[in-house]
Amino acid sequence: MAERRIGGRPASPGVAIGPLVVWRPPRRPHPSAPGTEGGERERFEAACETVGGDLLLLVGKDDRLAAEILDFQREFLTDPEFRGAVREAIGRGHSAAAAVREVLDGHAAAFRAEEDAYFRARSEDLVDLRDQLLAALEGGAERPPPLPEGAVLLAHELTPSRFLALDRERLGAVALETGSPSSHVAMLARARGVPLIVELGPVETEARLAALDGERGELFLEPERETLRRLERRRNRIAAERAILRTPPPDGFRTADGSRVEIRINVDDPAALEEDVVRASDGAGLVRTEFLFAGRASPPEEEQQYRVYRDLLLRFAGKPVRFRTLDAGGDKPIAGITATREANPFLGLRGIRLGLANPRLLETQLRALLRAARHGPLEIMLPMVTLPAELEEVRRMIARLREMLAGAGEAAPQPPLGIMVEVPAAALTLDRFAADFFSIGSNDLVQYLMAAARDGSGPVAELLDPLHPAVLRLLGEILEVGRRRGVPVSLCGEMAGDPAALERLLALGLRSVSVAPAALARAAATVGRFGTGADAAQP
Amino acid sequence: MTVARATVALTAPVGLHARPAVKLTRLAKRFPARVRLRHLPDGEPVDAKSIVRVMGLKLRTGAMLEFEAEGEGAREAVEALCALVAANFEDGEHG
Repeated sequence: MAERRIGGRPASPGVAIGPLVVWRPPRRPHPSAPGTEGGERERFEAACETVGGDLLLLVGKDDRLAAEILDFQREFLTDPEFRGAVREAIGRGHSAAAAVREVLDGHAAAFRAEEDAYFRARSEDLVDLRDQLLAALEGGAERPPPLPEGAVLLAHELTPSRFLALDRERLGAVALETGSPSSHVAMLARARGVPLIVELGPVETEARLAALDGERGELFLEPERETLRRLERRRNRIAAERAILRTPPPDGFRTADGSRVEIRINVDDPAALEEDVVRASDGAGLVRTEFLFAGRASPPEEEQQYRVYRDLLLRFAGKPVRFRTLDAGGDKPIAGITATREANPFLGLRGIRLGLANPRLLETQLRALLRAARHGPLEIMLPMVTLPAELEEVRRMIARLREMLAGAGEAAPQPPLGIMVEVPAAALTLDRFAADFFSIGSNDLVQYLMAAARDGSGPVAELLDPLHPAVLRLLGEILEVGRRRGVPVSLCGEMAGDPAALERLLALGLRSVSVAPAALARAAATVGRFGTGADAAQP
Repeated sequence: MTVARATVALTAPVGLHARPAVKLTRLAKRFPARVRLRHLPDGEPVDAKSIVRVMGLKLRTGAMLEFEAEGEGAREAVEALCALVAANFEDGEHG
């Protein structure tokens, strides 16, 4: 059989190769007409017993998130309020199944309408509970399939309770036709290190062997020898790097000769962050707040922004979190905010320029950040700064907002305020900026310095070289200004995620980087090898 | 009939999420007294033994709560529940 590649969305990283198991639960039989009221009530009570017993078997030995989901479902099941509502619906002539559906769908809808993502996620737990009760009531209760060692499971969708019922020892990876990276199943898979891809679309297959790449979101059916070799290499490398995440060095990441290197992570979407990466990191070095603004009709309210910022600080539990103010424009247009007709958006109204042109938008964000600052070490970073006056204007804005907040009885601490170093004019005059920190945005800095677009191809792509002497010389100067003035310098571009480039940066004296979460382990490994004289760069 | 009442501030950083809410209802059920929970200043009192009701309050950090118990063990119930909230739901149990 020829190899078939199916693309989906990555939801939990890792690589697995193993026998394919397709799980297609039988369709539920058509709901039966209600029996007597007393009979339906008895059936409901019996179903609660069955499901409660099953949940109890799943709880206990497990991780925190699993316990949280299952305990919540169990408590719901024994709630007199819930039982009473179902009994009342049966009294109105519903079958037990229809009553369960009505009551739990109502609760799930109420949670789904919540603004807080945490409460919203509870609706998923209630739908899961509903389905378990319906399976117990209407038959069609499916036991999980027996798994061969290292199985790659393919299913249409998976609820948390079904996922938890799978044989953990033998499960290699999961591929779902639907699903979402922010679902509870995805969170459980990440917590357990089970590679998962979602949104594959309908898959019909007779394949026996599968290989799954949870980082790129690819499923290979009957993979060829070459594919297997490539994925095996990746799997081995990932396993070695994962070990660093599981047991990060107790006194921080260090080079082989003992010099401390701060490695933070970039946050694009808090929902997709893995706990072990958060735990192992030195904090967040770049929170791209665009995720709050994208895909909506109007900018988020201050209160909503505040909650998201606060929750992120709490997740990082005392580690510093560096929020970049909205960096719309350039390659990140946002409807209703960015200018629509710029011939050259990368050189146009973007970053802090856009913020200062729309002070209301910027002030709302700064107020939300200042209010969140009392929940942890928050830092504010401004994108695309060209002139010292831009930084000064924001500093005045912050002073004014803090005064207003203090007047309203909400005194906010003064967070460190720094700039992205990505415009060459700023990079070359850095000593004129009274910033609390500098963060080199290497992606844009290289593009502007080399006059080579980031999405270029052919000769343009070749010019976009982060290791060109012009780039390295400028980076050296930036580090020198930081040293001389006692201002911390870090780098938060893709460059830091590439082992060869990271080595050059370490050699230049850089001791703080921020990388994509998936690159943390590799960066830590590169740092650990640095200074041994060994050839550190590996493919 | 014994009636006990006390107020406590919700300081747990995540608010009254599922895990803390489950701990709260389970603790309340250990007492024979009828226990009710109210979000001050003007919330309606709800059954503190019902996860449906307690989660339905959607309580966030900073909320002021009032427990009111009536019947056998009322005072003990209110004291225990306030202590649980004040300790940010960390009752020594793992997690």
